[in-house]
Amino acid sequence: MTSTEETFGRVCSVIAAELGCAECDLSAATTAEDVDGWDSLAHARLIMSLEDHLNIRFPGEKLFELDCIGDLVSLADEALAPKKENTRVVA
Amino acid sequence: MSLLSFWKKYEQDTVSQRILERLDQTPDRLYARVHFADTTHSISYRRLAECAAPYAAACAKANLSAGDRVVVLKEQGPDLLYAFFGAIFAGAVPTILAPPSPRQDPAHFWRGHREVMDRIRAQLLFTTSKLKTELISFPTDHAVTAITEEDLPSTTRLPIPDTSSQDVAFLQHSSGTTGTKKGVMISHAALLHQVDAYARRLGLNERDHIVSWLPLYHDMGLIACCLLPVLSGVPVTMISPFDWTMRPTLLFDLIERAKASLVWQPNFAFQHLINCVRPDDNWDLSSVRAFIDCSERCRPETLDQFASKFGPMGVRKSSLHTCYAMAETVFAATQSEPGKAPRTETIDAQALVDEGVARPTLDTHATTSSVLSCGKPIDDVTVLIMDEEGNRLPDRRIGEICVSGPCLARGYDRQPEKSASVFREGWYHTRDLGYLSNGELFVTGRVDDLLILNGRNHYAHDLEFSLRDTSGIVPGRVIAFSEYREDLGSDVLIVLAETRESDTAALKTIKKNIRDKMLDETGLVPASIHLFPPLWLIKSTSGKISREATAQKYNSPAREEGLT
Repeated sequence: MTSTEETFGRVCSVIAAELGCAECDLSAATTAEDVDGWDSLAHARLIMSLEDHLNIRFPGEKLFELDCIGDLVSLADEALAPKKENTRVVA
Repeated sequence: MSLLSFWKKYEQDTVSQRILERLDQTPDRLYARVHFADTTHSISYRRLAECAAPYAAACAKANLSAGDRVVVLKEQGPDLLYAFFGAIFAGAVPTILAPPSPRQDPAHFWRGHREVMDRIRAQLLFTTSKLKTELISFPTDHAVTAITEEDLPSTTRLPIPDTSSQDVAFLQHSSGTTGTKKGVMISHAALLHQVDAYARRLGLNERDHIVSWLPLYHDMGLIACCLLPVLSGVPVTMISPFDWTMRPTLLFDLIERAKASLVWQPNFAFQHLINCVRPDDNWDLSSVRAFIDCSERCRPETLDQFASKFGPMGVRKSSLHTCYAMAETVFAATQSEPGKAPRTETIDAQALVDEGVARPTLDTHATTSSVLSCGKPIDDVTVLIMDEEGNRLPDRRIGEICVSGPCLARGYDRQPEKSASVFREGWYHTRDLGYLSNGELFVTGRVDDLLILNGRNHYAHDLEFSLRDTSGIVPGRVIAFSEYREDLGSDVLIVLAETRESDTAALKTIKKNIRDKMLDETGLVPASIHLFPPLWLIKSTSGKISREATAQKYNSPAREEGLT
């Protein structure tokens, strides 16, 4: 499993828990408009929940530029990259 | 003759005069600190006057007469304030409309705004270059001249406006979709009365500082966090609602930095903060003497949670307040007493429905409802409860909340029928249900089908109308209603529709169509969409679909008959 696939799985699991939708209905192309209740307030809660689960911080300016779950996964991967790099050095 | 002595000579108590008095007495005093596009703009009274002057000059250059309507359509930054006050100084009547949301279809956005501009016969539109370009793609019958920052004349001199206290100062537009937005006409006199009376009730003083994330196209943002500060000499720090939504704790950063004392926000925002603050986060919020819950039903459980969660950061129960407000009364009709937590009553829910009486109960077996007091009316405002025939009801009887007083609006701009239906014989009939007890107002519901979602008003029939052409649903067989969600501290939107489809993929497409239509036309995202086979929704005896009966059916086991 690649790191993106792993991140995708973790992101989808948080989205499903936060918004009460079925994880199997989510794909990289899924947009906020495809999911009941995914408004701007839910988006903020979701971002916070993802930050807590993945132990990362998203850059604020990019959070409203996301078109789909795939974009969110890419952004999460970017935020995770330095952590993984550090982990490797330490190991 | 100076501008100020000119005004004093004619004793014209207007918004312009009040600001000029402040300008004369304390030109360098901070009015607003506005965080916009990664920059903090500090605006003194002098700077406000100098930067509003080009907008006032643009009105003069366009040969606007006193009372001509001007639309302000800009992102929430300093320029929005300059444009709004510039139009007021020119004697024009500005109205701030909501800028486009990135998720909303531009065609629908412009259709709604052009309809408003046509109806109020707007002469000028103060906007940005980007929006001016978009506007050209959506022309309508009525010509409006769009002015951007680049088009403004170069001047720092304010004109002498030809306005009197009884003139309309600005229009406050309600939310809603095309055809349903109403422009509430607020006179200078009504506004100044509101500001003075509300400042007295709050005990506003020079040490106060307001912090706000509220949009200025909403009455709570415009009156409490823009006009009250500028007219009372109390500084305000503003961030955009867009930034706050994404990072709600920015509000706490600003409170701590400014040692702010006053914050207004709707109930859902209290809950959003509760949900979005991590256990290890910490701020000093002890400077806030009043967090004021307003613009949607104030929920005691939300304020209890807020006090409990943020108590260790300095939030006291006595600093959580309630206010009953609406644009039709400029803003506040009632306000809870500063320094004292508003009263919560536990009433018998069955007696409320069956007898229309708010009966306090201690019976642990009874179904109860907790209602938060919105306080007593502000000075010179009278609040009464009336029955359907217009008879005054005694304490504890549920009826329509009606408000009278000098801060009543002049009606809806160019909508005499709509005005006459709610402004009658000196009373504004709010369509809200509630009761009085010892002079305090308690709000319990609505007479009509108004839904209040995240502090903004939407009519159910209007939302249903926006779905009229949705592919896949049986024409006319759709209803919208709201349900309270305790975890969100606000009502959420539920949409039920009938379809003849049963295939899973087709049902999924229909739900997406509904979501897209709703978002495009109203900017709202339904929390739940459910599809049912034909004839599932319940019709009333008048042949119309009954929202109440259908909502009850939806909350019963019959919901299992749903297709999705």
